[in-house]
Amino acid sequence: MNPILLIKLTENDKRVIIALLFAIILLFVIIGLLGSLIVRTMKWQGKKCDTLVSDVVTNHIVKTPHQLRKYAAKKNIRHFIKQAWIPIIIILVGVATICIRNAVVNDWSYDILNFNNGTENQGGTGIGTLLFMWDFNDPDAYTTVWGIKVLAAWPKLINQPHFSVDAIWCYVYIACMVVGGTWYVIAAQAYLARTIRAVKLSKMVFEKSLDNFDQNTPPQQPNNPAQPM
Amino acid sequence: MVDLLKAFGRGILYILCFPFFLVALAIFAVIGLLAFLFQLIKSIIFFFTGQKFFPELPEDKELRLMREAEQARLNPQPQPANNQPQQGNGLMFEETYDEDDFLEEPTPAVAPLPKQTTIEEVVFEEEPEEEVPPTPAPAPKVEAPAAQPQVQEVKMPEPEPVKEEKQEEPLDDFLDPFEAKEEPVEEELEVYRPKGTTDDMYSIDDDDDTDSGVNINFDD
Repeated sequence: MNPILLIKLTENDKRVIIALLFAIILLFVIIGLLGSLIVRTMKWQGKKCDTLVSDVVTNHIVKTPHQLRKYAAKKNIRHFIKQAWIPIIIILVGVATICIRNAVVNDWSYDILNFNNGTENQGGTGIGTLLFMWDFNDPDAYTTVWGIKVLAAWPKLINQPHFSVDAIWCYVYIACMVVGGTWYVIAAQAYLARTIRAVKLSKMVFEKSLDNFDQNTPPQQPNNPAQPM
Repeated sequence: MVDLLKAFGRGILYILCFPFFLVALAIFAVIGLLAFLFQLIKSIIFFFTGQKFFPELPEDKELRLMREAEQARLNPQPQPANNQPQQGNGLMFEETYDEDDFLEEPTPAVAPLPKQTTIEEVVFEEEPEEEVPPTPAPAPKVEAPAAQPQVQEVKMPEPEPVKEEKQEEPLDDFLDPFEAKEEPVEEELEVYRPKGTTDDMYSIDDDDDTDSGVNINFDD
C-alpha cells in the first residue's frame, strides 16, 4: 500500500494545510496582479515608440522591417538619453556628496550602509539611524524546543529612527540613490518596452494578409490613394 | 472565480519569467548607461564643432525635405500673403496695390461716424459757423471707405484735395448702409431743438463734413 495513503491527518492538520493552500494561492494571485500591472505599464510606455516612428512609417520612408527596427533603435536610445540624464545627474550628486565628505574628513573608509546608530537614540553615522532595529543577538529572545533554538519573544528594540548630523552625508546619498535609481530603472524599463514594441511593429506594419482577398473580384484602380501598404 | 484562477496562473508564469525580465532590464540599463556616456563624449565634440546634440537622422532629413516640398507645392507664393497684413498703414503700398486688398485690411474703419452727442453739443453750445474740431481717432478710419470702387482716383498722395474728396463721397456711400441707425438721431434732434426755432432756421449740411463727422450750420 502506498505509504502516503496511510498518513492520517488530524482535523487540525487539515485546517493548517487548507490555510497554507489559501495563503499560497493568494500570494500567487497578488504576484499575478502585480505582473499584469507591470505588463500594462510597459505596453503604455511602448506606445511612445509609435509616436517616435510614425512619421517615417506613414510617409513610406522606411520600407522594410529591418529599416524600421534600425530607425526605432536610434530613436529609442535618444529618447532614453533624454529621459535618463536627470536621474543620472541625481545619482552623480549623491556620489559626489559622499566623495566630498570623504575628502573633507579624509576618511575614505566610510561605510555608507553602516549601522553605527549611536547610543540611546543619539548620534550615529549610518543609514541605520533612520531605521527601527531589534537586537536579534539577544539570547533572552530565544528558547529551545526539542533541541532546536527558536525565537520565542520579540527582540529588544535597540534603535528608533532619529536624526543625526554626522549621518547627513549618508542621508543625502541614500535619498539621491533611491530617487535617481528608481527613476533610472523606470526609464530603462520604458526603453525595454519601446524596443519590444519596435520589434512588434516591424512585424505588424509590413504584414500582408490575404484573409479577405477574393481572386474573382476585379483589381483596384492603380491611382487609388487608399492602397494598403 | 475564473479571474482568480487566471490571476493565479499568471502569478506562476510571472514568477518563472521574472528572473529573465530582471536580466533584460539590467542589460538595457547598462546599454543605456553606456549609450549615455558615449553620447556625452560625442556631445562634447559636437559642442566644439558647432553641431546639434542629436544630429538629424537620414530618415528625418528625408521626411523634412518631403514636407518642405509638399508645403512648397501647396503654397507656391506664401511670402506676399504673409507680408500684406504688415503694410496696414497704407503708406507702404507698392505697384501691386489693389483696392480690394486695401478694403480688407482696415476693417474697424466703419465705426466712427455717428457722433450724436457732438451734434447736440454743437447745436446748443457752439457757434453755428464753426466747424467741429476733428478728433484724432476718426481720421485714419474714414480713409477706409474712400477705397470703395467710386473713389478709384484717390491714389495720388496730395493732402488737401484728397481730404475734401474723401469727405464728400465716402460719406454718402458710408451713410447708406447705416440709414436705419441714423433715424433715431433725427428724432433726437427734433426733440432737443431750441425753443423758438423752426426747421428753416438751421440746416444740416453733410457735404461740409470734416473728419469728425457732421457740421451744423444755422442760417439766420
